[in-house]
Amino acid sequence: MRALLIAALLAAPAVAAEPQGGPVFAGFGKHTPVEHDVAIPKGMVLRHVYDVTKAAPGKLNPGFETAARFINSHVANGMAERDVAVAVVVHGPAIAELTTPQVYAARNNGAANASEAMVKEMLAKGVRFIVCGQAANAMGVKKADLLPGVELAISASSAHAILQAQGYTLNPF
Amino acid sequence: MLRAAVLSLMLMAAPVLAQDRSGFGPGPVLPDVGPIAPVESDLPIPKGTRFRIAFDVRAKAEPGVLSRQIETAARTLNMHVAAGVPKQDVQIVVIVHGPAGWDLVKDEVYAPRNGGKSNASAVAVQKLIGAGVEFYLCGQSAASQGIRKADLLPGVKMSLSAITAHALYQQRGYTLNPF
Repeated sequence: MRALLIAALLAAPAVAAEPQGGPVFAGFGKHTPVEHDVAIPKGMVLRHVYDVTKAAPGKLNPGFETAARFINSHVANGMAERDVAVAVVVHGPAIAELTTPQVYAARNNGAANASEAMVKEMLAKGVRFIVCGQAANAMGVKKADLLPGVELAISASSAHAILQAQGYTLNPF
Repeated sequence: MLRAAVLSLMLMAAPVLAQDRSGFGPGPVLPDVGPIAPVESDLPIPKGTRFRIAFDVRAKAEPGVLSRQIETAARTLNMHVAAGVPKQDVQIVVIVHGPAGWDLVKDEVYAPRNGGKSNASAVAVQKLIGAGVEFYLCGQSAASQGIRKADLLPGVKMSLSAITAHALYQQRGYTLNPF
């Protein structure tokens, strides 16, 4: 046991425990196992909403990926997948990363959207992506420009108010 | 084909992700502040929904420019009423702290500190208050910046602190807007 610990310390200098993929999303949203003190009460349903504005050209949007990590880490810690509902309210430049490949390429000198596959996988698992209609309009993004399954709201403020009134908690960062 | 033509036109008109407010029009409550765009929304507003929304404003607007966040509060009122929510069911409180406190003061207090310019947010604040929107200034940041109650635009209220106002309004069922 002790030897194992020493071996582990030798193998991994500093503190770092290895981030793990899965169980819901294998390729992104990795999380680190934690000896946590905040128990998840049995029967708890989490409804959590993120606010994302920043785009991340060429890489996975970290705001989106954080939402995937939330799901992976809670399901890995014993929650049922259906009890972890996550919504991502998007306004500002990050909206581009929810558009179809053609629209994205046309707006980004032919580049591919590095977050597209992640977004599609998250949508397939029930994550809600909700776009601010006011910002979309200001950017010239139409409903048909969005990836299938992405929702459009009157505004981001409206979406946050509705979701919070429906019991979603707002992630503060 | 049409789509491609429209898209290329759009791209020529608006390079990359530029803000284009041409699709925005005046709202029903405050036609002069907070223009709105119509949206084919997928997020229905359940009948009987009462919006109670708290905004947190810390950034001061540039002299001569309307505060973007104060405008967002106006847009929020306009667009929900335009979407069919009765005006009395869209209750908004704007909680202000830090440098943004100066956007709530009278011109005679504002101008000497801002190169003689008048407070470009004052009219919007007055109209919002007239439409029932509440404004609270954090008493702690007011004190630290030397803003007195008499300096405030008529109808602007002061709270012990911004934290106090947020805590009280969330207890009353207000949801916090995160930006």
